[in-house]
Amino acid sequence: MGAGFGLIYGVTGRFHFAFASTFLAAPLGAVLLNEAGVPLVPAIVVGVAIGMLLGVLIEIVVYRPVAERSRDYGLLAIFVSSLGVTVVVENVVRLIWGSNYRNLPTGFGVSPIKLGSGVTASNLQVVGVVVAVVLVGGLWAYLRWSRRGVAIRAVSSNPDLAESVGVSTRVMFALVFAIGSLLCGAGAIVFAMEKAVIPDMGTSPTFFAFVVAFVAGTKSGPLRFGLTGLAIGVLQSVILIWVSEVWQEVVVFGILFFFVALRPVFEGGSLPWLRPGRRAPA
Amino acid sequence: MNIWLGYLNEALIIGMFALSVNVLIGYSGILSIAGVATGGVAGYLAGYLSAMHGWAFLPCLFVGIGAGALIGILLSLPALRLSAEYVLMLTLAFASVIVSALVAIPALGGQNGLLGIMPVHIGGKILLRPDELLEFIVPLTAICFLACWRIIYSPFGRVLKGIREEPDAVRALGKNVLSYQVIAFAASSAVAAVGGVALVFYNQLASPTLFDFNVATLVIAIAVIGGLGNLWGSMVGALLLVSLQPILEKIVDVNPSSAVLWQAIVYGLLLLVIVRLRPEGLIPERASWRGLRSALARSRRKASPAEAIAPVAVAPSLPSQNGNAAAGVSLKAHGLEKHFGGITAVSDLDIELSPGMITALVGPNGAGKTTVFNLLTGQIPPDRGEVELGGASVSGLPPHRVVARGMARSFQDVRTFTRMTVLENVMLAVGEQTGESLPALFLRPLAVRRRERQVREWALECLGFVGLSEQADERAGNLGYGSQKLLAVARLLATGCDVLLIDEPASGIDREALEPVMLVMERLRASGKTICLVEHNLEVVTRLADHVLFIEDGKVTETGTMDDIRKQPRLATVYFGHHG
Repeated sequence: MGAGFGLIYGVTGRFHFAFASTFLAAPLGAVLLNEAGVPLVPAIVVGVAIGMLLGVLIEIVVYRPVAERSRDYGLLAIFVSSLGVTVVVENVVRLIWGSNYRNLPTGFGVSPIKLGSGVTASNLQVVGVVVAVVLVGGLWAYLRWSRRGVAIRAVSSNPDLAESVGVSTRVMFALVFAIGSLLCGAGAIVFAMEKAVIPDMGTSPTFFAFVVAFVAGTKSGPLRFGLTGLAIGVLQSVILIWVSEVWQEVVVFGILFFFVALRPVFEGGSLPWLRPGRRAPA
Repeated sequence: MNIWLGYLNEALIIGMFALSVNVLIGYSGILSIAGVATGGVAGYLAGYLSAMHGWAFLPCLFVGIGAGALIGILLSLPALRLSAEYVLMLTLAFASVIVSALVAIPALGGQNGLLGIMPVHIGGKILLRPDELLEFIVPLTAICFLACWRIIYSPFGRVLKGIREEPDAVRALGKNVLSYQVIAFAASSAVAAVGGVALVFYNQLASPTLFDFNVATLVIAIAVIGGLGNLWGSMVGALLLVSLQPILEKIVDVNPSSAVLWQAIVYGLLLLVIVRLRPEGLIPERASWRGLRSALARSRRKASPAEAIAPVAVAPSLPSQNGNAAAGVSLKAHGLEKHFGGITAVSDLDIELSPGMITALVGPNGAGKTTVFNLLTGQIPPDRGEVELGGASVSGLPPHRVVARGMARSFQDVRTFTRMTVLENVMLAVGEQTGESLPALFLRPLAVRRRERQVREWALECLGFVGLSEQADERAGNLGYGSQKLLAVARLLATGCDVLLIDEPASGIDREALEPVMLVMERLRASGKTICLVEHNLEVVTRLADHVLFIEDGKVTETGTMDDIRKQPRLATVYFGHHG
């Protein structure tokens, strides 16, 4: 999830808040198909595909024209339109399918597994970890070795140059949105199996994806995203055990806050506002 | 009826948040979504004081505003050093921390919120019904609106708008950009705080959902849909979006639970459509009755030739800021040195400029000419070396202080504030404006007005000097490039500085536009200014420069007149290539 957002943001520079929509669309698609009698595995595959399709559509129909039109105000325009998409998708879903919880069956019995002393995890969570590892590993391999992967990295580091050597940034952006949404959708399926499908399920994970992406550094590789995601996940569980659930978000976002706030310090060497000549105003 | 008044109240409160967003995003160009959360802190604080300590409304309000402004200042300090996307992230993180902390802290009532907030009294009357509540919401909104209005349409607001477009140019014209942004952040937060306190007292409840991300989204949507950069737009947008739900419910007869959803869908779609088709929002920034009238008047008037130059002698009616305009100011710098990583941009460079003389820096691209300007004006601090302006050292001073001492620079790529008028461009550059301080703006309106009139006259005079008087009310972005170069000179002039560093006044303009630029330069010299040019057009240099420094690889390798330089076969090869 974090890797997906990071990929999209790092490559295209689009502040894709509507990730939440994909996060909702994939499991919702799966649930609805499943309820309509489609077997679970194809339903999940189609669900993820729907999520990918939505991601790509958002890029092509919404972001691209906006970005090409407003160069200077790009960030604001993209952010605002992604808010718009999120709001629309969430509420259309509520309107059509209601705001109720829906459960996505797992297809296997969920049972706790003991992992050493006192630490338990359900087999579902293990599946989740495996899925995450496979996806992040796959993404890493893809970016590293495939032709397209190289092209994506080229677009990421210098879009104009990539364009001039014949890589279409438009195609690559769309591809990146597809891959990012794939990761997101897969994550969302596991999430939905563990919890439930509700229309606003996407918001909070999207925030967490922001945290992962920005803490890891938006232009870094998938492995770093994976590790950062893991670290934040561990941190969350630690807080859950030692403090309480309500403090989870406070701490995670607090970390993000200080991380971002102190960035100039890391980069500038000293506290920048103490440097002579750049004093904060009296 | 009361239901509608209730919605009106809500719209006004949300409108206050939208105003705060507008001041920050619309006018300062800072993309922050912390406003609603700041309002949340202020609202909770006020609510807590009221519920637990029985404070009355007004003291709670003032505490809330103070807290809001403080948060704004604290938040702005890290935020303003970051690039836009990190500011967005920072404020998002801030908002998330606040909302989740409001839930997490038991003393604040958790998810259910803080109850038992005293209703507002006015003159012994307790306000409970929507029509009664209107009595305190309306004045609050009006005060916020007027305060924002006063801030935006003032010299302070003018500088903010300049910063939104070209922060470096504003800095180079002698304004402390950071302090303006911090103050804008604080003011915006204070307005959000009023909204937050009003919301809490209106509901007699402080709960996390009043300030959560959905509300923040709605507020941004309102500001964007209404029109960023237009305060009326925010109010209209708020009324529109908030009334959407009751209209759907009561008039279109949608059932209440889906009316909320439809409202969200409509505003989401509206957001998409607006961003795509009308990025300036429903009511664009310059929409005003006066603007409409003057546009009509302009179209009736005959267009005057764009580059016509009206020779007017400069009459420095304002003393230059360091007070020795008559004597003329010279600049001395020695031993300037700057390295970027392993690259030596400038080394051991000495330069002397004297009043009434034009000195030109010439040399191949990348020789470090513009870097010299950057070092002299403090844009980039030199690694070594001293800069003396009229005998006093200005080394190590930030650009805006250097301007205050009497030296200003222009940029090669003009950096016009394209969305402001020509006159506003020049007015912005004038130093020491009373109306640039917020306290003065509210406490000394007459002094502000008096100074503003002087500033206006002086700016018109500067425009006259470069021959742009006719275009004063035109949008600066509509000027030809040659005129924009002249405008840049007028801005320099308006700062009142005596030492002017002008970066490529003639580049990128066609031949007809060249003559006015050269005339202006000559007239500047005649008026005793100390001028230094960076210029590639040797025709211009030959005609204007009294003294030429030839710069290669960050060093001065030859000095003299242009003819002296031309006679050196080696330099000719370096500069002109093979046909030298």
